[in-house]
Amino acid sequence: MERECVTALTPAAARLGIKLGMRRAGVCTLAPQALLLARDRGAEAVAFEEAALALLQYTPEIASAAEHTLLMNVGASLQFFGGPRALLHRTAQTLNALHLRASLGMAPTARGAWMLARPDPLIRQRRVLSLPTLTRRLDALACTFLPEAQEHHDWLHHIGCHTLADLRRLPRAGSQQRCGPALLRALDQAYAQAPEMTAWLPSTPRFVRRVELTEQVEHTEAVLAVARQLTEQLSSWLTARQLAVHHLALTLHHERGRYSCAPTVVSVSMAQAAWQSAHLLSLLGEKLSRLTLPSSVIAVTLQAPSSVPQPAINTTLLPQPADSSADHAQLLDLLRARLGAVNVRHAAPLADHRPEVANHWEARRQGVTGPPVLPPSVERPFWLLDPPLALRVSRYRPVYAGSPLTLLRGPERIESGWWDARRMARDYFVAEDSTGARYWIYRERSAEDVRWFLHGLFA
Amino acid sequence: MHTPPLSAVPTHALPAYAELQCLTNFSFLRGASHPEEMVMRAAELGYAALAITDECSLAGIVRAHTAAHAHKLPLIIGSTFRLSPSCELGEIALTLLAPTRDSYGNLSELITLARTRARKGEYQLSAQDLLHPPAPYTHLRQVPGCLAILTPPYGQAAAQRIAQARWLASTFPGRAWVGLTLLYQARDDLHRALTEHAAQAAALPLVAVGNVQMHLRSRKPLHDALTAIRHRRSVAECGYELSANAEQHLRTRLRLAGLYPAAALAQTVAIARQCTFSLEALRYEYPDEIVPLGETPTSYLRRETYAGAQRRFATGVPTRVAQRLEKELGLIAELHYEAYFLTVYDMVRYARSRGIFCQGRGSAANSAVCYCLGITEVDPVRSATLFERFISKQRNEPPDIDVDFEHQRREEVIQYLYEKYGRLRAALTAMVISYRPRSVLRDTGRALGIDLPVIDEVARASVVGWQERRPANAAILQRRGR
Repeated sequence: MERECVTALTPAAARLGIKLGMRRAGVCTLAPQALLLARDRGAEAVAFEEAALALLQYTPEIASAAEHTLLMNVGASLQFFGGPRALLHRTAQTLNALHLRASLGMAPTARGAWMLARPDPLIRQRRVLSLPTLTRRLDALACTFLPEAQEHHDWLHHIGCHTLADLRRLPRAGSQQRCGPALLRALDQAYAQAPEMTAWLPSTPRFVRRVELTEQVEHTEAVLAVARQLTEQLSSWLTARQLAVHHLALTLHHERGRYSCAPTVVSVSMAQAAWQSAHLLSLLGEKLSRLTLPSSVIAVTLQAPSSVPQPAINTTLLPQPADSSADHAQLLDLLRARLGAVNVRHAAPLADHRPEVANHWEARRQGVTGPPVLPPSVERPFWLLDPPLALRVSRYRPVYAGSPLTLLRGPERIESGWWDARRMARDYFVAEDSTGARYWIYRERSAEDVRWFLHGLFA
Repeated sequence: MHTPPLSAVPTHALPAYAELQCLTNFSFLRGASHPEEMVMRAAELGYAALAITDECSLAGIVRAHTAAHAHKLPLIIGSTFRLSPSCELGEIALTLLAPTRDSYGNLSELITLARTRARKGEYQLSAQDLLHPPAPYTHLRQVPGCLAILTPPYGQAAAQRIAQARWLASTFPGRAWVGLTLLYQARDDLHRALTEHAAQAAALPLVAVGNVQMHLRSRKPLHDALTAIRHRRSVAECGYELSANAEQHLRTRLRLAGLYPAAALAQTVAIARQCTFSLEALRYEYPDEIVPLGETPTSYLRRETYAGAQRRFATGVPTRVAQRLEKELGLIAELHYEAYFLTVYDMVRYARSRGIFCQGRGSAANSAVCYCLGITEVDPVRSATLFERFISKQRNEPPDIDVDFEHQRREEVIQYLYEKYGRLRAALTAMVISYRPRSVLRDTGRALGIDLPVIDEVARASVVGWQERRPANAAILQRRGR
């Protein structure tokens, strides 16, 4: 789901009548049992990057193209990997190992290969080696396979121009005038009649160091000692190249043989790119201290899969007391490492009259957060109790901690939420106890008998 | 939800109350109840009067009038406006009430002014317009006769409230009030204090108003759905656009008595007492120029009818027809419908003189008078229809003659009427387009966040026979689900 709309679905969901682009409530109407997952663009980008990295073993020339496609120039690698068929097979295996589903196309031109790799059931033969065959295959494709032709789709359709062959038969000058030069250029590139320019992905420097331990280690303290040594190396490696990292992975290899088990991976992510060994080590230390080793460790690998340029140091005339934003980010990293990422939450208030719904917290801050949405001119307590605390009633007055409460302001009536499960009808009051402490209490309106609850504390 | 049964409350002990601000569903996508429902509920609650004040519209008052007549509830006619913001005053929420017939005319003209210069469905009116109306409307300066109530919204700044109250006092001297609306929102106390302060600063009396948008509390879900449709979002996405509670309904006088100061409640009745205008006072008023100088409508109609009869019956008017003509003319004179017949006659005569085909029909058309005047071609000798069936003293309804003109030349007749009676006295009838089931289903479905294809299927199936097929909708939804 993305922006309340379905962006991908399983075949089982499709059988229930769910379609791409449907909205959340629509899906719930048709299939209440459907499991709705939010689209994670971050995870998609990471998976895409991983795929690119894994494919680097076949050629150094890899480029990313539109619609999650990777272009590989394998011209120089064919001989080494035993011909195109074998290379294609290995590529498919590599992607399979990453649990990625991909559709592979092969052609003498990058654009041709891109079009043949489209996941469309109409394309039967995706591997083409010679130019004449490519020309024949492309001719049969619909115009819409060329992204540049999408916007002119209606016009092309109306003049009876359905396939790329039809498109090529159109007078060049006329179609250039009408559709712009981009369409013709793309067409020429696909048919190898114009040179292609591709921006190959820059290879990012990676850091991988492995330390074989002289003896088997069974305690995390000992592992930490090795990690200190490795982080020092990483730190100096980063400093020498003016680089910094966002992610770190410490892999603990266990004994092989009868008691072999999968290596344990301790990974750390940081809000701000870092390179200082002390900071990196403290984060690793937090993770390690909570780790129980399943088996003794025989080797340790530290890797930083990708790196970014080191942020420039702010040079001011007078020394800054502390870079507060950096400190804040370091604190967050530390808390996340110690408590777990899902337990560090940010305030993300929602526009809703119901206080419980409005008081919303999220584990990860979404990319863009607008200004917080607050109701106009209302007084809300500093702290909300979850769940609200039922209050005893004595002589028609609610009592909290032995002290009868006096109603100061109210009622503020909130009746909302009939459209979901959290429907409420309450009268809120600001109340005060004998010591002058203020409370936010409410009276349930749906119940037959009067029931009071304490919902918030004023600071 | 927790309203005590009405019979249990001793009504004489409660303060009298008239609701002076009430939006019906003729304020499109704002009001959630029909005018009839509002009137019925107000009568049930023992209100002294009810004002229907749709936003820049009088479209709901006819239905309200009929219902008020049936329930014997005094109905007040008015309209609310949101005056476009100016820098020193900000947006002004204003309710105008028409206490007399003249002020009703002025209010209607003000609405015409505001509506005709904005796009369809919108209106545009500013504080400046009420002080210096543009050219043909200069007589609307300070909207003579209308009573004005300023209703400051929650959260408005103190200075702006005072500025607006002072502006109101100077624009409507002696007929201005500051309305206090208490809806159980956060800081009702602050809102009340600021409103009272503004009224005091401008030396205006305070009056209680309810800003009513539904007749019962239980209309809240519908009200929320309308808000969502208005904002083109789903209900859950509307957030603070929805009202926090359902207090904008017609509340019991018991609750109002506990909520508002007694003086503010008394003011509502004082205002209601000033409002004496009723739609009953409106009558058809026919033009004078259809009768030549020196003739009365009665004598002229008689002359023209008999002249026509001579043409129709060249061999002499049969006695039966003559008798019938006398009877009809007598009835027309008694009910003062001469001008109506003459107006139609004039129009038909013009069309005939230009060779434009036309044909009359309708309840009063099958009369001997219409035949002789050339309005219809039904020979009264051969048809035995009873004239009294169509115009009757008991029914007290105006006669009805429809004339169809050939459509290619209809415009000529329209232009003739404009020329003869002038732009201000001739008009094409307009109609209020109401929400149809299919659009309702589509918009509500969207407000609840259901997908268009699903809604469309339900809408297609239920557009025929909406009432009877209602259970089928659930079945369609289920079938879609499988």
